[in-house]
Amino acid sequence: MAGESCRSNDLVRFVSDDPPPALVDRVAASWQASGGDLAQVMETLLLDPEFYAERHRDSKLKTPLEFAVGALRVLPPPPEFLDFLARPPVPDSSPAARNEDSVSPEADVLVDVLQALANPYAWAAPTGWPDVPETWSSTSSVRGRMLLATLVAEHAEPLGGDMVEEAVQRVLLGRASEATRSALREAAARPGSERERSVQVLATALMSPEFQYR
Amino acid sequence: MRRRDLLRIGALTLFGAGPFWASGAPGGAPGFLAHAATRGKVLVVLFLRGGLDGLHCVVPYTDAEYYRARPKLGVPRPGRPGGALDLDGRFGLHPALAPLLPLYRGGSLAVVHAVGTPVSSRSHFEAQDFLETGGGFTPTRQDGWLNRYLQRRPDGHRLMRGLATVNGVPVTLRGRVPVTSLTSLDDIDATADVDQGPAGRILERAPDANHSRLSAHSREVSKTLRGLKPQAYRPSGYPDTALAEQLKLLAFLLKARVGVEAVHVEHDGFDTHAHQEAKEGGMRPLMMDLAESLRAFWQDLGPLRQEVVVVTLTEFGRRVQENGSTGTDHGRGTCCFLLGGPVRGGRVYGRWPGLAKEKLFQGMDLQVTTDYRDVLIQVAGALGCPEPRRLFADHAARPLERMI
Repeated sequence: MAGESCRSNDLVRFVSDDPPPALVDRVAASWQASGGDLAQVMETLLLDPEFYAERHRDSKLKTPLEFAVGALRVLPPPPEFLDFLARPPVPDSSPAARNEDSVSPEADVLVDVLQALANPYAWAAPTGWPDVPETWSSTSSVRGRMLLATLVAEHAEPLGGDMVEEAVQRVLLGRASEATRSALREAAARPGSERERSVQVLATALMSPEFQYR
Repeated sequence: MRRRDLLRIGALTLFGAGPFWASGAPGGAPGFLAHAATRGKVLVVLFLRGGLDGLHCVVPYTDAEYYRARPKLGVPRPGRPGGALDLDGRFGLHPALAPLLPLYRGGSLAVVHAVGTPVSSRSHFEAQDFLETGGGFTPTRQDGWLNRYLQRRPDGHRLMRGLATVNGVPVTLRGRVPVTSLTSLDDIDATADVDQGPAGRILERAPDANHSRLSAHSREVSKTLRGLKPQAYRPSGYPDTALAEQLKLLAFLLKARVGVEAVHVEHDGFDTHAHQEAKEGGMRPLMMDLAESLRAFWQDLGPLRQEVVVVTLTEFGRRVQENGSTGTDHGRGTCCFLLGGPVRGGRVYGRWPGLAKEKLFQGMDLQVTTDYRDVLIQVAGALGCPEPRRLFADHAARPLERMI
C-alpha cells in the first residue's frame, strides 16, 4: 500500500512515470520506518543516486499547466494579457458567455487556448491534472500545445540577429541538442518576413523536447 | 501571423471546389472516398455528468410512492398542467424533454429504466471511474471501455477513430488507440495548419515513443481537418449551448467521413442538490438543452441516422425522496436513453422495481435492475464489435431483451 502510494505520488511526480521498483521499495521503506514523515521520505528520495540517474532526465512530459506557465515565463506577453489571464475562469464555457468578457480578439484566442489546454480547474475530478500524460495527452493536446506555442511566440518580443542562438538562450536557457538546433535553423530559413520567421523559430523552440520535457 | 490568416491558408488548400456537404449524398467528398469503403457504425456516448435524476426525466407516474416522496418536485400526471408526456401508460417524459417525444414516437428513441452500475458508492468520482472504465481499474493505470471497444474493432487505418468533444481524453476513451479531442467547429479553424512546419515536426523525435506517435498523428489530423471548411457549415435548429456545439461538430465530422467510430460527448451539471426545477441553474434548462440539441443533431444527420447510436450514461441516479432544498441527493438507479437508426425505439425497457420503501436500495434509492454494461454489450454487438462481452472482463454478462 505504501509502495502504491509512493508510486502514484512522489516518485511519479519527481522521478519518472514508471519509477524503478527498487527505488519505490526504498522510499516506501522510509515511509514506513518514519511513520509517514514526509520530510524524511523526501530526504531518502533526494539522496538516492537513482534520483540523479541520467535516464530520468527529460523523461517526463510537462503537464499542460507546466508547459503553459513555462512558455509564458520565458516569453512573457505584454502586461495587459497577463492581467486578463489572472482573472478567474468563466465557469460557463458556452460561446455566448465567453463573448461577454473580452479584452481583444487576440487575447481571447490566447485565453481560449489556455482554458482549453491548461485550466487547472478544468479537470473533472478534485484530484487535479494527473502527473501521468496518458490521462491528458491526445492527438489534440499536441495540436493544442502547438497552437499555444504559436500564440505565445506571436506575442513575444521578436528575435533579432542570430535567431537560432537567441532562441536557444531565451527559451532553452542555452541547452539544445544538435537535432533541435537543426530544426531551429530550418525554421529560421523558412520564407516570410523577419517577424514571421521569428515566430516560427520561437514556436519550434517551445515545441522542442528540451522544453516539453523535464 | 494571425489566426484569420491561418484560416485563409486552410480554406485554399486541398479542395478547390465547394464544401463536401454541398455535394449531395454523404461521403461525396473527393478526399474521403478512401474512407467511404470502410464506413461503419458509430457509437456515441453522451455522458450526463453529475448524476442524472432518472425519476425526474422519465417519471413513473402510476407509482403512487413517487408522489409521496416528491411532494414539491413530482412531475404531475399526464394531462394535468405541467404534466408528464405519456410514453407507455406507465412512464412519462418531463415536459422540458418534449423535443424528444417525436423521436420516441417515430421509433428511434428508447428508454431503459432502473439502470446503473453495481457500485454502491455515492461518490461522483468512484462511480464515474467505474462507469468510464467498466470496472477492474487501479488508481494509477486506467483504460476506458470505449477505447477497448475501438481496440476490438478492425482498424482499417482510419484517421480519427476515437473522438472526444471535450478537452483532454475522458477516462472512457483512454487507452491504446489514439484519440482526437475537439470541442467545437471553431477548434478546427484554430488548429488548422499551425503544425505543418518544423515546430510541428520537432516532437516526432520526442523521448517517448508514444508522444512521437501522437505528434505524427496530430499532424495528419490537422492536414485532414484544414480542408473541411468548417466556417461555412451552418446547420439550423441547434440551440446556442456547449452541448449543441459538440453535436454540431460531430455531425459535421460524420458527414466528412473522417473515420469516426466511437465518440464521447459530455453534458455536465446534473448534480442537482438544490432548486432542481429552477428556470435558471436548475435541471430544467439542462433537460431542454439535451432534448433540443439531440433533436437538432438528429435532423442534421439526415441519412446517416441509420449508422449512429447515441447512448446516454450517468454515474448514478438520485434519491427517491426529495430533500429540503427542493433538490435530490446522490442515489443509485436512473434511466438511460438510446437514440439511433437501428434502435427498437418507442418503448421503455427494463424491469421496474417499484418505489415502495421495502423495494428501495438501502431504503432510499431506486434499485438497479439493469447493469449498464449489459446495455452497452448489446449495443456494441449490434454495431459490429466482435465478442462484446469481453469489453468488461470482470462482468458476468446477462442478456437483455433486444433493444437494438
